[in-house]
Amino acid sequence: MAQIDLESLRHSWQNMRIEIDRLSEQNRQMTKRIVNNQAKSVKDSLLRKYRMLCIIGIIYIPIMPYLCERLLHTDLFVTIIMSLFFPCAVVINGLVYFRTRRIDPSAMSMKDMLIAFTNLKILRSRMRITSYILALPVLACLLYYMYGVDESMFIGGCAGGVIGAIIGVRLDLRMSREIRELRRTLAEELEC
Amino acid sequence: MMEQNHALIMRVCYMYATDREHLNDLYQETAINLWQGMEKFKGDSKLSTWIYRTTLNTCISYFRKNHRHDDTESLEILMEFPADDSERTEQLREMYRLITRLRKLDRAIILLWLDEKSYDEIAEITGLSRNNVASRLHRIKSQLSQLAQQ
Repeated sequence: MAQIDLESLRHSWQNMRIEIDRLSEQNRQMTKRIVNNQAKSVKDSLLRKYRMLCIIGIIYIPIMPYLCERLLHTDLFVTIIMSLFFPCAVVINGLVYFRTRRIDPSAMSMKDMLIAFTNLKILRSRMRITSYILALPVLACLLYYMYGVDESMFIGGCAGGVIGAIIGVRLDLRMSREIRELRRTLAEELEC
Repeated sequence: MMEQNHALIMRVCYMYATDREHLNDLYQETAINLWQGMEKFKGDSKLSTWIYRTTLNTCISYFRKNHRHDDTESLEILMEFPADDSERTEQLREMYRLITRLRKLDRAIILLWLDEKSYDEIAEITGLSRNNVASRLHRIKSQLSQLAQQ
């Protein structure tokens, strides 16, 4: 392969055109949607998702104690555990929401964007791991409750718990690997 | 603004896209980010610098939810060069292939250099120091030459 002379190719590079079929018409339609606030970015979709999760969690904070006490008739310990789950979920989703909101492609430098984006991905992975860990006492309480209600329900619950635990451990290992990979990639990009 | 800077935005998105659908997605996402960021743009940098920065940031931070593997159409067929020199055209295509093998930040630096941005402008867009940009650019050019010889 002949050596590429970058300097001489510079001018030709700028004259390169990239065409996609139907692009002109697509652009017009897309521009119209953007101007009318009908098009949402991926960031907007993520913010909407985490905002909804926070709202749902906040709504369930007062409802869960009532549900446990009046409808499920769980004991005090189970009620407390179940009631604590939703505030934790709100905190977790809230952290991810605010970290995502801070990312602004039009205002940050590339270096800052890489750092912020990598940290966001690491946060999301850590939050998933934390969610699984927090869910364990809730599951344990539910199983204990089922044991007291009906044996077949308890067996079914245990079977589901074992399958869930296997899936959860595998996901946890994969996410931990992803976090290490993200850190390594960021260090390489920034050469630090 | 999009029409005037269409070529610039497309060249940047092209450098980070893996297939045609990805290219479309990056272009649309960039358009939305530019539109939403327009209000905050105070003119403290050149418009082209701001557009480059927004486009590059969009490309390096895009969450691609459904990565389809069935669209294997090469992006190279979308490239058009006005030159009739087929050898030069092939060199440009080869250069593109090599650049896509670089890391994200290095890709941005060489792209900005190819578009004749000054070291200061590249430093402003990337957030690196001017000296860092210069040394990285030297290393990238060496790396591309080595890759070309392999």
